[in-house]
Amino acid sequence: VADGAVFVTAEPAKRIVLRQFRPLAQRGVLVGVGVRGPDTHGLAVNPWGVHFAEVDVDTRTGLVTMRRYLAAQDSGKVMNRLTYDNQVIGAITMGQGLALSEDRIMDAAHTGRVLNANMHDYKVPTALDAVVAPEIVPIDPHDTTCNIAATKGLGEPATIPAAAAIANAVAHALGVRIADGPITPQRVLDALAAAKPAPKGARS
Amino acid sequence: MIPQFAYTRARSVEEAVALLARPDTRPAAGATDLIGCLRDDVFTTKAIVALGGIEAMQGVADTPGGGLRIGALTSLTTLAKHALVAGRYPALAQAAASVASPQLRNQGTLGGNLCQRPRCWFFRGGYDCARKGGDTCYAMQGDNRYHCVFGGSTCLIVHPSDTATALTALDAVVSIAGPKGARSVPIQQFFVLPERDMTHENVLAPGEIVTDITLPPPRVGQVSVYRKVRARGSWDFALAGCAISVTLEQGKVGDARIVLGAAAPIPWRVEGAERMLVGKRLDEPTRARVAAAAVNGATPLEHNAYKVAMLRGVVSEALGSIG
Repeated sequence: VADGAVFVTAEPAKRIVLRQFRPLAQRGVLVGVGVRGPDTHGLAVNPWGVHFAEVDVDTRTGLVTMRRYLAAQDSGKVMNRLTYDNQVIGAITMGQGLALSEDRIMDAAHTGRVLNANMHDYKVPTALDAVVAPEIVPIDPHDTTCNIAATKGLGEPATIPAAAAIANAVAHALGVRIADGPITPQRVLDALAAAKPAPKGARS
Repeated sequence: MIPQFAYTRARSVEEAVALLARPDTRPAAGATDLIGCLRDDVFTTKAIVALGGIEAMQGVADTPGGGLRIGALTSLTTLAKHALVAGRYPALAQAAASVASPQLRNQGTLGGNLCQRPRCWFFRGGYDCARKGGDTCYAMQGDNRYHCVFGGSTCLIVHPSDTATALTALDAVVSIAGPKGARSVPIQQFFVLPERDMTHENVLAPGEIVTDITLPPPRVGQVSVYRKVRARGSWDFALAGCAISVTLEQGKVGDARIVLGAAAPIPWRVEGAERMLVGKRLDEPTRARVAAAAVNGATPLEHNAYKVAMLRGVVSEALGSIG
């Protein structure tokens, strides 16, 4: 919006003078509605991503602490960098929950009931648990073959590598791979006990 | 479902005690655990007596000898940030800072943190378990990953309070008011094992409330620390906790208290490990020996063997943070 008109940035000739908008004067709100064309027939749209996680693993208490995180995500054209970053932070945090703390616990041994069907015992990471200031790198290859807007997905694709990146970091730190999630302090200590003698390389 | 109840604000300890003498009446301080217990049908109530307006149960004050008297209504946030508490009894400030989440620490009180009910998921989960007067402990055969490795018998809870662990290492005294008057109980005699009382975690008789906590003056060279392991950093009860208080003279330990949290139905003092510290420097071999001794005699259940290693680890780290 500039010079009293709304126009398409790429095609400034496509413009409407604001004065012509009676509804805008009445409501003070301008809503733009647009559509993009369909994805190109016969082509798959793949939002690629690569995530890097760095963790501390305390081999005495089994505690895994998130240190640093980098998420590079090819989601096509970034429409809004703030909401882009927020989507990725949300995805990392969801992945962190999957990797480290969220677990539906069923008392298979005895009662057959779910024991943690509440928001305290089912441990979703809170804002205070989220990794501080992750590096978020949008990769935009300007892929106009996928669709005319060169857009891809972001919210869900960014959740996919997060838990695996964290689990890989834990395995790298410990020299022991924990394949069952979440990687709770209990699972870390149980895995270390099973893998005796305790491996070197983790923070002591 | 939260039951319907009458709600009365008490303005003095005497008034609170008089109101609490009525049947099916419960006290509320921060009410963070009370609401959860009512929602989870741990117990029910007909009347609630709010203690929040009782001036005599507020605040942190010096005692004549250089100790502190802490009103039971002092919030955990206040405790965590209080200069006198952090200066003289760092273990208590650290324990208070590690409780739950910021919102719960703002609302929750020291007295409530000591008197909260256990977190056992059978106790909270609608089972008619032994602690609620039923005839079985579901944790005996069920998933007992979070249950005790010391002190269990017919009930296998762990005590959920972080501050209880710290206060036990600091030789606190609990002041109680009730229908038969006021009394004081050393904190080690405040909590009770299931073998003595299966349905209560402490010695409070019906109608009694905790009014304040008194900490003795720190001994010369006293250092204290609280450490906690939890599955979620921002808001969680301890998987393993440890409070240590020692006096140090030229680098050697004079007197020691080591208390394990989330290990037993009460804060679990390990006197054998304490004795091994006396006269020693806190070097790595000593720390390892003492940490191993602290879990000596643990009897893990089917699903919680990890806790023994974790408690040993947290004792070792707590000692390391002192030495």
